[in-house]
Formats: sequence, C-alpha cells, structure tokens
Amino acid sequence: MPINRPGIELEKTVYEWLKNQQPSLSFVQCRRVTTKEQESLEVDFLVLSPMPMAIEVYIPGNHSAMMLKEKRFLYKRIALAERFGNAFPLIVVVPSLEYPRPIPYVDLVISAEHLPAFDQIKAQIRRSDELKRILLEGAPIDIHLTTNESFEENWSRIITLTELASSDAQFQEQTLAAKLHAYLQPVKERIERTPIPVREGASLRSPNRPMPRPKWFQRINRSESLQVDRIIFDFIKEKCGGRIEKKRYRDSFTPLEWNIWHSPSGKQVLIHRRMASVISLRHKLKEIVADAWLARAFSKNKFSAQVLLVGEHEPLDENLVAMPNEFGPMKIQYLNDLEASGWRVAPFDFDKAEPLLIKILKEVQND
Amino acid sequence: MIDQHLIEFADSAGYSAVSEELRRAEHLIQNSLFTEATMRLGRATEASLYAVSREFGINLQIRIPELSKIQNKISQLEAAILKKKTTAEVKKLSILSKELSEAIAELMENEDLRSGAEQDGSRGNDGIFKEIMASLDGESSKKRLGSKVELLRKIMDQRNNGAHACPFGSIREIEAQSMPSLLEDFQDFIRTLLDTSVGERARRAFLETT
Repeated sequence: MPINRPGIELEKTVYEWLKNQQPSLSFVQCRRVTTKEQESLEVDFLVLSPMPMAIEVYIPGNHSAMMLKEKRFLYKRIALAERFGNAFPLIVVVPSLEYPRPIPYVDLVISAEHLPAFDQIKAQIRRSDELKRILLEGAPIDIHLTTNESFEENWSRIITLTELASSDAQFQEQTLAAKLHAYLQPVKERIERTPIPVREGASLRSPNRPMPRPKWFQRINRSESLQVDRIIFDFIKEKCGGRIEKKRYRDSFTPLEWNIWHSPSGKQVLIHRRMASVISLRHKLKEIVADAWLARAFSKNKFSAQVLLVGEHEPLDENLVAMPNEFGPMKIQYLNDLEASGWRVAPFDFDKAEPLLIKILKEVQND
Repeated sequence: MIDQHLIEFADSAGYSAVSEELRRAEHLIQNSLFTEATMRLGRATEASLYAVSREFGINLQIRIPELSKIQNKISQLEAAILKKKTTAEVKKLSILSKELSEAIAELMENEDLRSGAEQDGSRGNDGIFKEIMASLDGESSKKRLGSKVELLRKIMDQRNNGAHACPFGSIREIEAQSMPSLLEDFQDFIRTLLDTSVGERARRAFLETT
C-alpha cells in the first residue's frame, strides 16, 4: 500500500496543534485498529475535553474522489452520533481551503494553514440543515437482525454472477437464476470475445508487471447492468405484483436515485442492489450504511422497508476462504452491521423457487 | 483482557479513578485472581457512576458507615447528657470508645471500607443510575444509556458473587472461563456510561450552535 506522505504530514501538524494546547485540552489519537468497537470510530483524533469533538485530516482529491469520500464522512458522523449523541461534532482539517467540491456532512472544515485557537472553533461550527435532517430523520426504526439459524438457511448457497453467466450452468426453469442465466451467458461470451483495447501508455509498464486482464464482469456496460436489475424487478412483479418506480431525490447534496417497489397494498420498499465480495463489502459497508440514513431522511421515512440485495461477482479465492476469521464465507457480523442501519439484506439465492428477497417483500406486504 | 482503548479513553476524558481500577483489575486477571478481579471491576463500575454523577452535579453523599454510625450515637448521647446531666449517660461514651477502636481496626485492615458508601443506602447504584438518566437532556443519550439498566443489575450481581462467600458453606470462586463474558458486560456498561457523559459534555459545550 503506498504511503500517504501528505496525509501523514497533515496528521502530524494537527497532532502538534492539539499537543500545544495541553493540559487544558485532552485528546486521544485513534490509530487504525481492527477491534470491533474501534471500527465504528475510525477518526484520527478524539478530543475529550474541554469541548469534545472528532477531528479528521483529509487531503481532498479531484471531484469524483471527493464524491466517493463524502459518504464515508457521513458514516463517521452517524457513528459519532450513535455513540456520543447528535451534538458530537466532526471537524475536518484540510491543507488549504481551496478544493474542487464542498465537504458535506461534517460540522466544520478548517485549513491547516490557519489552525484557530481551540476555543474559537465553537463559534465557527455551523451544522448544515441537511446534516441536521439526516441525523434527526434518518435513524432506523425497524431493525431485523439475521440469526445464526436463518443465516445457515438463507446464506449457505449463494450464486455468483459468474456462475449465473457460465455456459455450463443449468438452472431449474422459471427460477430467477434461469432468467438471469439466459441473459448473462451471451453477454459474458460476447465480452470475452471482444479484444481489450490497449490503453495509451500501457506499453510503458514493466513487462514483469503486466497489466492484469480485466474480468468479464468488470467490462459489463451500464445498460447491461440495468438489464440485470430489470430482470430482477420483473421477477418481483411476477411473484408479488405491484410496480417498480425509479425515483430521484434532488434536494440532497449527494445525488440520490432509488428503485422503489410499490406493493399492491400501497406499501413502498426501497430495493438496492450492490455487487460486493465479502472483502469489498467490509469496505463498502460505510457507504451502504450512509445510504440507508440518506434514503430515510430524504424520503421522509416513506419506506416500509429497505432491502439490500448483495451479490458477488465470482466465487471467493480458495486461499481467502481458508482464512475464516478474516474473509470466510459471508460473515454474519457484516450482515448484522448492515442490518443495524435499517437494511434488510438478501443474497443471490436465485436458484430457489422463492429467494429470500421475495420472502421479505411478501412479509412486508402482509405486515 | 481489558480493552486498552477504554482505559486510554477513561484517562483522557478525566476519569482517572476508572482507568486505575481497570488497570488493577487487569493486573489481577493476569495473575489468575478472577474473584478479586471481579470485585475490582465492580469498583470500576462504581467509580464510573460516581465520576459521571460528580460531573452532572449529583450529590452522592458518600460516607464511611462504620464512622457515621458512631457519630450518630455520639450525637444522641450528647443530647441525652445535656438533658439528664447524669454520670450514667457519660459512662455510655466508654462503650462508644470501644466501638470506635473496633472501627479503626477494621478500617486499617480493609481497604474496601475506606472507600465508603452512599449515606442513603436505599438509593444504591440503581438510584445513582436513575439520577444520571434524569440529568440527561439528549434523547439519543437517554435511549442508549437507558438500554443498560438491566446490564447494571447483572454486573452488580456478578460483583456480589465475587464479594461474598457462599451462604451454603461451599467455596465460591469466579473461574477463568467466566471472565470473557463477565469482562464484556462490565466494559460494555462502563464504555456506554462514559460515552454518554462525554457526549453530554459535547452537547452542553455546543448547545448554542446546534
């Protein structure tokens, strides 16, 4: 992993700034650790007195890098609110105040060039209406945690996208797996037949470190990905009735676009698909948790449920499966962490006559 | 083992009595003194309740019962002497002198007694907890801490198991295999209480900006 030298330097600057204000100020430096308790508190500094607050150092990148980061800030802000209450501020220190996109979901952004006296921070905090709204209206109401028994029953057999697209695969007719297979197999074959365009500058790479060949699912285009969603939605309509609506919420800082299932009885269920391996799910968890809070806050809590459909691209590497503590098959802990934020999570168990997704939707409809 | 982040957090947040009790409990666990460690964890819990109470301005009225009992008796005798003015009443002071000697001996011997206890025995840790809850303004803090009321009762029962002999004559010991869940419970309560207190500190500090 490359060493983030500007980040380390900035962290040192903030450390010195805080250190110079001791003993009237006390703080802890939160190093990256893997215990569960600390995972939810991944902040660089935690000031505990006289004015408790969390401080993050951040080197803003380009516009899109900042867009990716903003949900992580929201996740941290939510984690702080859940642990210490909504008033607990998150302050971000950047090298200078010139960057391509505002930093939302935090209480204050200050420049390392002009670090204020600590007692001046209080007057500078201006929590945005959007953040207030998310913290007040975004909290989960119903939480359904997967038990060990239901985990065994529903998550022991997950079909990956690669298995669904495999030419060898055979699925029982009328299952969702069979429908997706009929669409994905030719897509995969076409992609694999299409040569990978050589990118400019690729020849400059060392022959000892050739560019890894992208996997077929990394070359699926947007319309093909949307078609996968359409097939799943058609299956929902066939099994549960109702209709699917794609809805955009324009009043949030982060663009929000959701697929909503309207049940025949008039209930609304948000359905969100994420392709993530166990390993990447652990990293994407923060964004997905932030999504859950955003959705509730900006839909004015209209959803009877929020369902997250988690699919994996390909079977896990056997070497990783052999390390059950870290990457073993879909850890129930990750599921429960997602569920604690209000998601109901369903796997790609699409070779079953009634996948868990359908069971959840029927349950919500009849509730 | 005890979560070092919790010790560091308690220290930095100004709850040094809590971090010190936790460090001592850890030392006892390392030496396989699990019964004694459980009592220390009980003291860490009480230390956290007392520290947060003080921060919230709750009057704890901590006294040493062995001494306050004697003080009460002296006050009663003083009133009797003033009223009856007899040597018989004055002689009763010698009985108290004996009780005072015994109390001194007990206090010399037993460190636990020197920590004192609440004067109003009916309130106890449950009562302090309720007062802390009543002092909270933030709804989310109330909700989070409120969910730990049963846990406080559970860990205080565990502390009592460590502190008292078995009434049926057998030897009562906290065994090594009980320690992981016991530690988890004690730390869960202390962590939540200290988090709530620090959160309330933030809420009060930033009240006018929220």
